[in-house]
Amino acid sequence: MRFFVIFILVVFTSCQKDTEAFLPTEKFNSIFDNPSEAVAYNPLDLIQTQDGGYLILASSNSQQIFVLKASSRGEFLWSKTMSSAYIQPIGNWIRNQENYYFVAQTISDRTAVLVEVDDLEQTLKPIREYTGYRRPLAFDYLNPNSYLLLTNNDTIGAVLSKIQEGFAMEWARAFDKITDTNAKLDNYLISNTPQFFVGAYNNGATLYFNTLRPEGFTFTFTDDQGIETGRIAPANQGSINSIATTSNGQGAFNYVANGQSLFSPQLTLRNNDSIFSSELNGELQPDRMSNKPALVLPIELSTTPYTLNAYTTVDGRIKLSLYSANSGELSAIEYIGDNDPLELAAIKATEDQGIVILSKTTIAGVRQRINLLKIPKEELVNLL
Amino acid sequence: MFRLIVCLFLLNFSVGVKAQSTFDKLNKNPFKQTQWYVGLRGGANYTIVTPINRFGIIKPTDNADQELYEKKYQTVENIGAIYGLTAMFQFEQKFVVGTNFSVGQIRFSYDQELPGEANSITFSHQQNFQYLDVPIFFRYMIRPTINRFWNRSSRKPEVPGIIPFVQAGINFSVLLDAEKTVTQSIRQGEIEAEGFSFTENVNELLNPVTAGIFVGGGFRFRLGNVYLTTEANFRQGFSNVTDTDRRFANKNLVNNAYDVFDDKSFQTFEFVVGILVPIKYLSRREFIPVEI
Repeated sequence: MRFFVIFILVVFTSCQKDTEAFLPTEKFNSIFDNPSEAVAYNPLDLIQTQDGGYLILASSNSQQIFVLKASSRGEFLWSKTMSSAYIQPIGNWIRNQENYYFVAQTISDRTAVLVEVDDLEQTLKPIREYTGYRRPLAFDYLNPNSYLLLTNNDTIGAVLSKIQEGFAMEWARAFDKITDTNAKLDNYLISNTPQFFVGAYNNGATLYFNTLRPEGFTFTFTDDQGIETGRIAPANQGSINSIATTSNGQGAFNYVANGQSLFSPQLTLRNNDSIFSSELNGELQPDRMSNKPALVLPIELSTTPYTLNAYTTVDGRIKLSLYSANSGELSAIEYIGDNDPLELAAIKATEDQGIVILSKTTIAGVRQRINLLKIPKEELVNLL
Repeated sequence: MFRLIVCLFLLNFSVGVKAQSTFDKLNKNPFKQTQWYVGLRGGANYTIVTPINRFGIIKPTDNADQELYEKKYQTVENIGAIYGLTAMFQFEQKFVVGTNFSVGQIRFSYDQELPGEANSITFSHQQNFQYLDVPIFFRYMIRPTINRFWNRSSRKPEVPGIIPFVQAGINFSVLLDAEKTVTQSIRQGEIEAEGFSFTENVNELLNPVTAGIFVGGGFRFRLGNVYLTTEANFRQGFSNVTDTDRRFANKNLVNNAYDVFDDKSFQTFEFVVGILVPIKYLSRREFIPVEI
């Protein structure tokens, strides 16, 4: 009998150690739903937070700003809807010390507003209005300590501003003298869904922005003071959709020219020339939905650099194409999605060398919802 | 006189030697001090699922709605069948060590809702897994210890006809087959309609081998030369049933039913009846088994 009791105790104690050892999966696929069918979300951008989770920026169909925090496993943690005094948020998220920031506009006069998100306190606060700079279109890093803001002034058109680390404006440059630019931009947006963006390369020596200018939707190069040095003008109503630059002065472009979607994985950037997008010599992307975002992301897999091109396909899926950054050759293709249509919104590398894809999905035929999907590094490597 | 005494002494000695030799042969024969049994067993089980980490596709956008989107594990329709072979070795009057080769059916279901003000969609998930259960267990027979030595009248020691027992063991389960059926239903106000339904093999989403322990008890009844056993056991799984690396591998379930498995273990109550046949006999001609 003693032997029998000892046996039971040994079995119980040895097995109980493992009950908490079930590991969570790195991969996740989360659709954030609202029981109210009348609410629709339009996801815009995401950023990975210090705790490994994700902040998602979205706008609702009532034009309200919606921020959602998901855990590193894609679980819902918290969400906030901002006061209706602020509307139309724009990507990108930026991080400054412990907090996260994005730009929106006031509903009263469309003044650009910097919004601070405190992840720990779960708060959204408008902390600075850039008076006189209206209708923000794009916001992103110039370098790790300063930022670029693109706005659309109703009387002169595009304005590029450099924002310092403390969020004061250092300089602002206008490029054209067009009147009634808001109306012209609104007219353009009726039949086009272009991507506005700003950025920099060469350690901040070359800046670029993408917006509507007198000759059409134009990609513009400037020096580090915002003086225009070159441009890529549209070919037959086309536009540049996205760009990823490398340290050796090369870039990968998604663009539309002559009514066709194209991708150029490896191109020497001519920041002092003025060319047309038809000169970029890209390869056709016949399955791309040209009025939806196409994004490029430089990643590294097994110490080899790759360029990941992602876009929404005509059948409502997201297509990922991996190109070797050294040779420019296509290495792998992966499709995401099935019955519920997906629209790509953002794609980012994660700290553990995976990727997260933010998209809008329509579930049950009517509900426009935020979809956040993570692909771990191992799965990306297996694609090759 | 002396001769008579010597003769009586020798006669007595020879009778004594003859009697001791017969009993000692039986009592000291190691063959009759242990017994092997083989048998058949069958019964039913009832499974309770314990989610360890919850996973899903559909999540809320507000804390107040968290519970609406959680899987709701059902407590009905969780009854499965269990059947197979058993083998045991009784090495002492009170102790038996044994193993089974049983096919155990694990059935459980859960519902997940996509709640809506106008339309609510419910996905019902019915799982049917089959495992080959291979436990190693010790059984303690609750019975008095009896003197194994036969007396000179050659009467066999009396073993109780009904013996209660308790048992405990380690269980290893090898996945044989796993299927799940998803049924969609749509509710609009008072009207409810059936949507799609499909069945998927989900072997690839599960760990091929899981482990656990079990404890239980029952009774052994002597029926002639064989034994009938009834037992009730409680099994506690200690392994994750779900393969964490393959959780999202079934695209049909992910994309059409918004479903991935939770990390989970099973608790199972099982009720089994078995027939045990001893395989060591004192007399094969008369089928008299060794009984200890």
